[in-house]
Amino acid sequence: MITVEVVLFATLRKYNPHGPSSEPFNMQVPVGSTVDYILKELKIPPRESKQVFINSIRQDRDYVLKDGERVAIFPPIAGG
Amino acid sequence: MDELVKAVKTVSREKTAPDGQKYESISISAVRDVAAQFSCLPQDVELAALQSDILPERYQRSMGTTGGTRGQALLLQSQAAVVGLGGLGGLVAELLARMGVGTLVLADGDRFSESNLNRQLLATEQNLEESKVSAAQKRIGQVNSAVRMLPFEGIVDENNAPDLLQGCQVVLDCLDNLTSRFLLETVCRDLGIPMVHGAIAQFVGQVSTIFPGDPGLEAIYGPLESGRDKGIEVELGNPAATPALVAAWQVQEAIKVLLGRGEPLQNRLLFIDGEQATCDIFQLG
Repeated sequence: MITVEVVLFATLRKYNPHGPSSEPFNMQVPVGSTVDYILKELKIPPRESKQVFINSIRQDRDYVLKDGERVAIFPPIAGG
Repeated sequence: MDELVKAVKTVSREKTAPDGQKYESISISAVRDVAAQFSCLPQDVELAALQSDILPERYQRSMGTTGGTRGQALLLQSQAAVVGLGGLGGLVAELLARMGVGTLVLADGDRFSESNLNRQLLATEQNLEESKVSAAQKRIGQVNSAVRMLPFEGIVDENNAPDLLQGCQVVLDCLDNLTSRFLLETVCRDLGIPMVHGAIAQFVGQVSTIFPGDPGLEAIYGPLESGRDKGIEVELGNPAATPALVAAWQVQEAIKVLLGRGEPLQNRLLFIDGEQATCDIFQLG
């Protein structure tokens, strides 16, 4: 297993398993897990999470996570 | 000597800046008088003044930012497009006018309604049902008569956008849907114009400055998909402060682009979460 730090922004904080918060939390995931695995584990619907940044760099859903990485997940915002 | 320059020099006055420096200043009324005398635009008079190192007094407090009369002259000779004149665009247009960006393309196809009043700077109880472009023109005319305006009342599409944006040095994406934002980005890319993107929803907002070769909006939103045109603002709405936060950042980015000053938010996304009081910067590609 590896440990990653997850931060859920704005409306996605409701998917925080420790209660609705944008405080970072740790997740233990199997070696070889992708971004997609995290999204599914947290039950975040795909349309709510198009923006995932690993250590502040945008990555796709098939990105393979490494131990200690920080996963930031955003909802799309488009208002003007 | 050019007659206009001679007239400008005649009406300028020496003043002292807050830091004690002396400078030559020209007032708004003197600009108007000279413009009337020469049957030219206030902008022409201001430009003649700036090129003679005479400062239109209205820009005095911008000097530290613009770098003096030369930088101000550069702004006055610049053209920016504000596409969308709602929560973001109304404020963006006014701030660009206050900075003395000389030519503003003002584009929107909408009219003010009551639900705009909570956040759209140019919406008032008196101008409901007025077109946003018309309201912006009136306001900018009151704020800075040296600004030339190129109004466009309608939806920006692939047919009209190239003509509308041609000649701009920067475009401000103040739109409210992804289809139009992606279209604007494509046209900006084709024309080689940097685009300052801003978007808001409830307590959160984002800003990024996209140059023609950058991955841009796709790096933020993923590929454009049919049926996914809006974000979480649809359910959460937008309050008064979030558009002001994001619009201010957009204007600062645009001014930097026009002056060639500072570090733009290029290939970076600024994400502001007002509720958590956090600002993060994320790398795009």
